[in-house]
Order: sequence, then C-alpha cells, then structure tokens
Amino acid sequence: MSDSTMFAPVAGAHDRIEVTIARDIAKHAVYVAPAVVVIAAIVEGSGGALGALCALAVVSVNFLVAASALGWAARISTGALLGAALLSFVVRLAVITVLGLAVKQVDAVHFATFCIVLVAAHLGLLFWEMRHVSLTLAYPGLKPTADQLSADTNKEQA
Amino acid sequence: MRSLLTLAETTGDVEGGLRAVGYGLAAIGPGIGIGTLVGQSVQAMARQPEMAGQVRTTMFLGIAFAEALALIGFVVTFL
Repeated sequence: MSDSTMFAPVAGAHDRIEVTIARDIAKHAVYVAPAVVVIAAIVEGSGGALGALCALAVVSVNFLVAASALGWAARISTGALLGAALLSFVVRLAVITVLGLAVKQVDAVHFATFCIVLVAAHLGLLFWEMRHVSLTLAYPGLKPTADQLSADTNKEQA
Repeated sequence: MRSLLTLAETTGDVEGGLRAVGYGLAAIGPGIGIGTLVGQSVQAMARQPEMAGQVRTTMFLGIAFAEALALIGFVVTFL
C-alpha cells in the first residue's frame, strides 16, 4: 500500500456508518432493557436488576464509543483507523475491567448477573443488529425503511 | 509458571494474580483477531475505495464479535 493511500481519508467517511449502527444497537438495548431488568429482578432480586441495568449500559456505551472512535479515525486516514481500532480496544477493555471490578465491590449489585447479562447482551444485540444490516453499494449501513426507499425513488424520478 | 506463582505469593493473593494473568492471556486472541481484521479491511478499502462503506460495516461488526471473546474472558476470569 502506498503512502498516499495509507494517509488518505477513507472514502465515504462522511457517512458515519459505524455511528448509525451503534445508535441502532443502543436503541435495541433500550427496547429490551425493561424485559431483561424484570427477568433479572425475578431471578436475583434488586441486586440482579441493578446488575442487568449496569451491564446493558456498559454494552451500549461500549458500542457507541467504539463507533465514535472508528468514525473519527476514518475521517483522518486509513492508518489512523488501524491505530484507533487497536488502541480503543485496549482502552475500552481496561475501562470495562475497572468498571466490572468496581461493580464486584458493590454489595447492592449482583456480580454474576452483571457478567451474564454483559456477555449475553453484547452477543444478542450484535446478532439482532446483523438482521438490519444491508451490504449494498447504495445502502452500506442499515437497511433502508420503506419511507426512505420511496423518497429515494422520488428523487431519482425528479 | 513458578515465577508467576512466586509473584502472586509475594503480593499475597495467589488466586487473584493467576486470574489476572489468565485474563491477560484471554485478551491476546481478540487483539490479534482485531489487528488482522482491521488490517485486511484497510487493504480492501485501499484496493476498492467504492466498497469502503460495506467494508466498514462488516469491519465494525467483526470487531464487536472479536471483542465478545475478550468479554467472555473477563466473565470467566472474575466470576
């Protein structure tokens, strides 16, 4: 790869595709949060509910931060994208570890529930999001809604 | 291994020390995976810039899936 390619911004970087996907994931997390918290409360009581809520918040913020970092780096260059991906992975993992250990010290939060919901929500929300992703040239991020499709068709006809 | 045990004994928490080492080892795999994934994605974007949107979408989801392994490592280590 030549230097000009390495230090050029990623094509289509203005689209902020990652942020759109992460926001959609966070929206899904808000949808499922009441059900998850109620189930956790039934199984483990108020500690479980608090743990589930913390885990969902951590997962959502983690996705949003990762997307922001990648989207920001893509506007700079592909080299920055490489650096941002690895650096943000290490930093986010360290923050999650510190948060997890902090949650473990708090008696009011059930740590096992926090851990289980953390992994389950991360994977579950990702698989859910995969159903909404479109990999076409026209729509490289999320699948367009019927309204968006008709609006685009009207634009083309005009 | 012996030196790790000695280190853990010195700090007074053998189990905690070994858990931390295990977590560190568990984070190596996702780190390598993300590095490979992003490297290949950057190469793909350089070869076909018009496909950058699709490549970035796939890359973001791939990074998130690789990161799930690190989260599983955290859970298994500290639970």
